[in-house]
Amino acid sequence: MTSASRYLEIAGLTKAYPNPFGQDIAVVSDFNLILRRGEVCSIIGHSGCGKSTVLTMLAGLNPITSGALVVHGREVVGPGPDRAVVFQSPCLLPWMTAFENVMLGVRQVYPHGTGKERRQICEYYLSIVGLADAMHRYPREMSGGMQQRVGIARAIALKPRVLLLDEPFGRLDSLTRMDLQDVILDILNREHITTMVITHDVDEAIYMSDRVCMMTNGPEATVGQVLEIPFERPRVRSAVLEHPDYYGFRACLLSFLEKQEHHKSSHVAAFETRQRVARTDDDAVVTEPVEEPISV
Amino acid sequence: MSDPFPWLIRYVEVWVPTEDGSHLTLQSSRLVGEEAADADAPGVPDVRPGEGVAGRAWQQKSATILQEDPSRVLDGLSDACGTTLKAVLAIPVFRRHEIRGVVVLGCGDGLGAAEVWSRDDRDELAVSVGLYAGLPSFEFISRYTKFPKGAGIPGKVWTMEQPQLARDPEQSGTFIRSFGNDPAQISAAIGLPVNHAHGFAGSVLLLLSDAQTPLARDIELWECRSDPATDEHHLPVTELVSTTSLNAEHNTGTADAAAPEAWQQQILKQLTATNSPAMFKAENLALPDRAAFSLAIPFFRGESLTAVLTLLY
Repeated sequence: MTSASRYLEIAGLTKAYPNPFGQDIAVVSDFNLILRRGEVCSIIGHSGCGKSTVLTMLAGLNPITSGALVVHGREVVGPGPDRAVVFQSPCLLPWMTAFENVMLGVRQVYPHGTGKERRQICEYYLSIVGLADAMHRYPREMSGGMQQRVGIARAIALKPRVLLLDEPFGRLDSLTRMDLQDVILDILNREHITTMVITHDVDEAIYMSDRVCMMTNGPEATVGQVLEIPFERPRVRSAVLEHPDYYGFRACLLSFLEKQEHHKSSHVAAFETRQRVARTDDDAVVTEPVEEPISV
Repeated sequence: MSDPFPWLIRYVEVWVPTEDGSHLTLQSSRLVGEEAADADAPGVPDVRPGEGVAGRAWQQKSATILQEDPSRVLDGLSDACGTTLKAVLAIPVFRRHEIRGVVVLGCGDGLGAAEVWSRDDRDELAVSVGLYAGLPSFEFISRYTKFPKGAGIPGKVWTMEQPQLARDPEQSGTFIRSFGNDPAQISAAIGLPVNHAHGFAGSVLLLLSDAQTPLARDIELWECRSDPATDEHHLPVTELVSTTSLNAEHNTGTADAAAPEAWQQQILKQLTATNSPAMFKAENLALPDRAAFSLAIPFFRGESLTAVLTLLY
C-alpha cells in the first residue's frame, strides 16, 4: 500500500471531555477515515455532532484523547504549516493589508527565501483568488467574500500538505459562495492539495468532493458511511448538476441528515440511559444496558 | 406445516471437511418452507478448493454470491432441489487456518439483498458482489458506499469479528442507504464475518430481507464464551453468554442471561464437538416456534467459538 493511497490517515480517533460527575464523555468516538493524496473529502453532519472537533484535532489545535492522526507518514502532534486551516471567519489582522496578512505566514514558512521571492508568492496567491487589484486594502475596506479570499490565499500560500476548510463559505451569500467554491476547486486542481471540508450544504459537498463522509450524531459521533462521488475533475457546475446520478447522491445525503435529525433526541436519550448509574441500597453500581441503533 | 411467507432462502446445504481436510463433502441439504424436506442430492462429488461454489468460498476465504452462472451450476442446483433459485450464497467457516465447513444458501424470488463487502486498499469495506430485489435506490447508492472499520453493520462486523443482527433497521434512523421509495422495506439485516487465522479475513456477507420474504422464521445470534480444553481428552467448555433474536421475546441481555434452553444446549454441544456448521431437524431436537429444522453456523476467533448464528425454518 503506497503512502499516496493513505496520505491522510485517521485511525480510531476519539475525543472525550469530562462531565460534572467525573466521567469522560466521548464527543467523537472511534473515527476512522483514510484519504488519498490530492483527494477532497467533505464531512457532513448535524450542528454539534463533532465535525469541527475532528478538524481541529487534525489541525493540531485540539489534543486527541486516543487514536492516531497521520499525514504523509508523520503523526500529527501539534499545529504545523503542513496543515493549513480556513475557518468560517477569516480572522484577518485588521491593522494589516491583505498582502501583509498573507506575508505573515509566508515569512514563517519560507525563512530562507529572499524578500522578492516571498513577495512574489504572496502576489501570486492573492491574484489567483481574484485579489490582484485589492491586495493592499485593509480588511475594513473589503467585503466578507473578499476577506475570505484573503484567508484562502493565506492558507494556500503556505503550500500545505493538507488543507482544512471549516465551513469556509458559511457566512457568504449564494453567489459569492459558488464563486469561492470555484476559486478553491481551481486551486486544488492546480496544486493537488489533500483537502477536508466541513459543510452543512449537501450540494457543496457533492460539487467539491471526491468523497463525502457522513457523521452520526454525538455524543460518540463517528463515521456513518462514506459516499464516493465519481464525477470527473475538473468539474463544471452545470455538468455536475445535469449528471443523472447527481440527484441520487443528493437524496441520499439529505435523507441521512433528516434521519439524523429525527433520531437525534432518541440517540441522546439512549446515551444518557447508558451513562446513568443506578446506585442501589448497598452502593453497588449497576449500568443499565441499552440497545443501540445500527446503520447499514 | 404451512408457512405464512415464501422464505427468501429456499435451499440450504452444509459442506464439511473430509477427515484428511483435503476436500469438502456435502453433509446435508434441505429445502426450506412448506415443502421442507431433505433435498435429494445423490452422488454429489466432494470438492477441493476452487471447485463449485463451496470450493470457491473456501479458496477465496470470502463469502461468495453466484448469480450469473456460465457453468449453469445454478440451473443444475435448481433442478436437483426442485425449486427455482435466483442466486446461491456461500459462506466459509474457518477455525484458525482450518476450513470447518461451508454453508450454501439458495435464494428464490423475494424482496431483499445479499452483498459481499470486501476490504479495499484503503482499509474500507466496499461491495464486491451484490444481489438486489426490489431495492433500486439502495442498489444504486451501494455502488458508491464505503464503510470504514466500525461504520455500519459491515464495519461493526469487522470491528467485533462477530456476526451482527439488526431488527427493523429502517426504524433505527441510521439506515443510511435506504433513501428512496424502494418497493422493499428492509425488516431484518444480518452481517456475517469470514474469520481466518487470528481474526477478520476481510469479507462480510450482509443479508437484508423484506418482511414479506423473511430470511427465516426466526434468527438467533448467540454470543458464546469458550474456555480451552484442559487436555486433549476433553472438549472446550462453551457457555452461552447472550441471545439476540429477531423475535424480541427471545432476547437475553448479558446482565441477566437466561439459562440456555435444551435445544440451544444440544446445538452448542454438537458445534463444540465438531467445530462445523450443521443442520438440526425437529424430529431429533425440540426446536422452538414449530420450526421444522435449524441451521447453526459457528464463528471462531482464533480457536475459540465466539458466536453461533441459528436460522430456524
